[in-house]
Amino acid sequence: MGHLNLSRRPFLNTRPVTRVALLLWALGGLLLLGNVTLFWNYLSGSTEKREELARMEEQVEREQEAVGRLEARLAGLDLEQQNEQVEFLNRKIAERTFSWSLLFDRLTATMPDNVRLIQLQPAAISGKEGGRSRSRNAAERAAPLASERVQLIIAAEAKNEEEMYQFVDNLFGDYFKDPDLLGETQSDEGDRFTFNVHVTYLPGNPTPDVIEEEEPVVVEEETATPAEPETE
Amino acid sequence: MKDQSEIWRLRLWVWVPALLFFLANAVAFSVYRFGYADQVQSLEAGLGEAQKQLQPQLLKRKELERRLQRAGAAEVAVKQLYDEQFSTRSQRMTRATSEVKSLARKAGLNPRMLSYPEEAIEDYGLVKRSFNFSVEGTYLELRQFINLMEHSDSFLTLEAITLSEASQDTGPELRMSLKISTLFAEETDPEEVGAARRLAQRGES
Repeated sequence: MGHLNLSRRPFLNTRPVTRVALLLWALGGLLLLGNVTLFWNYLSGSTEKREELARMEEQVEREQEAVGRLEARLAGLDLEQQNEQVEFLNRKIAERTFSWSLLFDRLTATMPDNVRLIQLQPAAISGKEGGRSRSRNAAERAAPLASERVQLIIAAEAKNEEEMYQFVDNLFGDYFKDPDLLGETQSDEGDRFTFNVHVTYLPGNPTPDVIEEEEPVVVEEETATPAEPETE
Repeated sequence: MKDQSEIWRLRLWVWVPALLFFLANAVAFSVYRFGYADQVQSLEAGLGEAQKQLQPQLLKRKELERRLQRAGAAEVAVKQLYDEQFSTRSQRMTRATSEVKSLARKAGLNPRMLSYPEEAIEDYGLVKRSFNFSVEGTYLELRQFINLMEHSDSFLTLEAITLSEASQDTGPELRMSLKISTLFAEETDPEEVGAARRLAQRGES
């Protein structure tokens, strides 16, 4: 049996090599794990995203087509003309529902004893119906319903000047606004004054001393709908 | 004594496979990071972009549908108003005339002479027919007539009242001139009128 001569195989420290190798395996393993996860996510995620993107692009295209179709249909309807027609009809309905009884009650309450009504004519109702070509002033546009602010022409007769002025003064009240004495004629005997007054009548104004709850604000839409005509 | 670095050469089989394994994974990571991750990001950006395009389109479509629905409802309401309230001259002219007279008589007034001026409101396919008459009566009778008019189911509008003293000395009697009007739908369908007008407008432009 031969002797083992240890001195012929000098001691070499292999631990650094082993440690480095282990470290590289560990880091490589972590990277592998990360790569597998990323790749898996990429595969599933990108497929899903591609499909979603295709779906969405298709939907955008469909929506664009639908919008085009709807716009063409709307253009064919001539909404401007329809709105004008509805506005006109609403004005006619408002005129139909205008309460002359209430106007008489309120007007007679403002008349002194010796003043007599000769003529009463709401300016918004009378006059030529021009339809589309009718030019409307700012006040009418601001108050689309004729019954909200009615322009009245009143012709009346008074026995003396004081009562005529008293009547005009009384028209600065709750239901009447901005009375304007348009003209007056005195009879030859001097015992009669015939006069014309222009006044804005506010039929919707609440009765004095009655507190009404505030109504909700109505948002105006593009397309108007005619109101149902009412009969009391 | 052998150099310590000699061990790396002698133990190649220990560390080289580990290094290769590490490098391979590092290269794979780099390829993903600089090659594929960008694709994912661009897909996400594309999705965001498509979403941005889709949202206003959806809102616009809803808005257009709402407007169309309202326009349809308005058209139906207009048609109903024309059919049920206005009707045509042939359907309602004599009935409306008779009703005006009947209401006046019920209030104690007796209209003897009436005139019926008419005015076409071509833009809206309507005809406005007026009933103008003068009567003598008391203030109470006038109020009664107004009251009956206001409660009538017909589309009758009182437009103007002119009052004056009666010609004869008959106490509290007044002479009243009344102007009442109603609307008739033109015999043709209002939609046809609108279509014809649109065609004419296009022709002009």
